[in-house]
Amino acid sequence: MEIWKIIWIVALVVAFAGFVFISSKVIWRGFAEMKELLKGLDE
Amino acid sequence: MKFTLIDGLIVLAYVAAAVWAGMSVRRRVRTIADFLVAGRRLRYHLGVATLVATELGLVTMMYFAEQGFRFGLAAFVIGVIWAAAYLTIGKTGFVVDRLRAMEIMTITEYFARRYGRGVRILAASLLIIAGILSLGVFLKLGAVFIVHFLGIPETSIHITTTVLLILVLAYTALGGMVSVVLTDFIQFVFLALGMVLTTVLVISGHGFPGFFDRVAVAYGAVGLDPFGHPEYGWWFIAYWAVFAVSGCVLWQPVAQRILSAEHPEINRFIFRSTGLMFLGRAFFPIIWGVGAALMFGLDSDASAGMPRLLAEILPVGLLGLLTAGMFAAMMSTDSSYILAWSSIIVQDFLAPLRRHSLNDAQRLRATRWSIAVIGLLMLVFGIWYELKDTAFRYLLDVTTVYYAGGLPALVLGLYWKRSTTAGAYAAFIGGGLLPLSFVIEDILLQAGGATGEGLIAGLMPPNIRGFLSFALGFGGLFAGSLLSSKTRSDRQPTG
Repeated sequence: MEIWKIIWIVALVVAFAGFVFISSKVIWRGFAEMKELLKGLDE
Repeated sequence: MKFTLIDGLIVLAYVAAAVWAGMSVRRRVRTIADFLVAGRRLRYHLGVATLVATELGLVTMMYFAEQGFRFGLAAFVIGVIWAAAYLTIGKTGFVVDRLRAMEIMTITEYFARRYGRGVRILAASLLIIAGILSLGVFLKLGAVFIVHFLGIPETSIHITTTVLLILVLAYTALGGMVSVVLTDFIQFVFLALGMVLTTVLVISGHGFPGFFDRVAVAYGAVGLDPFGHPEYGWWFIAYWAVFAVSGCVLWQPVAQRILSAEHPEINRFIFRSTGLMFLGRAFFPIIWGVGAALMFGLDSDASAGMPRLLAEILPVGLLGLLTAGMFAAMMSTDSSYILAWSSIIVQDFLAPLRRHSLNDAQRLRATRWSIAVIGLLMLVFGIWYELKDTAFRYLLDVTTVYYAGGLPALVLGLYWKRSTTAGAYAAFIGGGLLPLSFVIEDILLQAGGATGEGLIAGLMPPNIRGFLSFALGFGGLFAGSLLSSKTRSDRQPTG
């Protein structure tokens, strides 16, 4: 049981860090890409 | 219930912004490729946002929370395997590289090129069955969430969901994939923020390592151990692993994004980034479900637990943010799925059945009509059908109808030169046999008012039934191909 506790704690930390890192990057850069997409469709 | 004016304004602001954004792109959509795959202009970060947003629906959070509530943190294994499937495909480009290079709009178009029109129609039929049956529970779970989260009377829930569904249908029918991408992005912003803050709040109520100790006490050792848990175990892990790979490459809303990417390398990036995010997508709602079980007791209503917990613990402002995120999740996933299935009905079912090909305007019109019909079916099925097991298990069963034959037909079609049309038919029929019989029997039993277990359900445990379906699909493809290639030369080049 202890081993599973450690595995899930590590996995949760990885999941949390990954989620925060990627979502910040996506929010930051995705907005510019969205504007490009709409501009591309207008052309 | 402490839903305040501030929370209400946040929700209204979101709904208004999403509907306006979705509808405002109508004039930009000119061709069927603009409508279905956003003109193939999807780039890196927007691709990740739209894939995560689509696969992170309210229904996803509800079924993950229900798994956590009932089975503890052992349910984490679902997220780990799913994330591993996405990361592997992102690293290797397995299937997705070849698919994107073919410039098709749906996966069933691939089946047509590789195996012919008949296989395409069979695959599309199974995919439509799997999709519509899945969509049926979306509204139901959305309704359960809204009732318990907002504390509104159950009598007004059907009206609320119907209004939301009409809004979704309107902007999906008008703007297609471009609307979906835009609203997905807005949803992503709300949900990412709401999910992180909520998870911190749920865990902090118990203390970080202390949360895991409390789970061990409440659920026992199996609450942490997926191999020892009777709901999961080795059969589930094997079944879920092949299912997760199928989900990456066969599920139309995911495939639509693969096919919308500007070039194949973008797909790899999207899958790698999404894989890591999918750990959180599973873990966070599972934690909310476990938190609800610890708060209300394991014997209380599992599906209502998560919304009740959130309504109880979230402060003003965060409550509104998460409600907006949840509405967003419901609207964007529903809109993506409706668009995905309407495109299958037109591109892969109606168009191949007609003698004369449809022009762009006719396809657009037919797609918009399909959207309305799917919406109606969702409403009828969602109100009438009662789930017997967990929502997650139901979705596994109905989706295996298509995946069990689709995975061998797609993968071996791309990578094994000897796969034939007869093999593809055998894969779809062999793979779909058990899950389709189970689902049909279940619906018939419910229509007849019976409450007990059916014949197919009693044959074997569900995890063995699921894994065996994939084995029959692969076996069918190998046997059908090897037998038919001796008598006729209907082999075609791969990819």
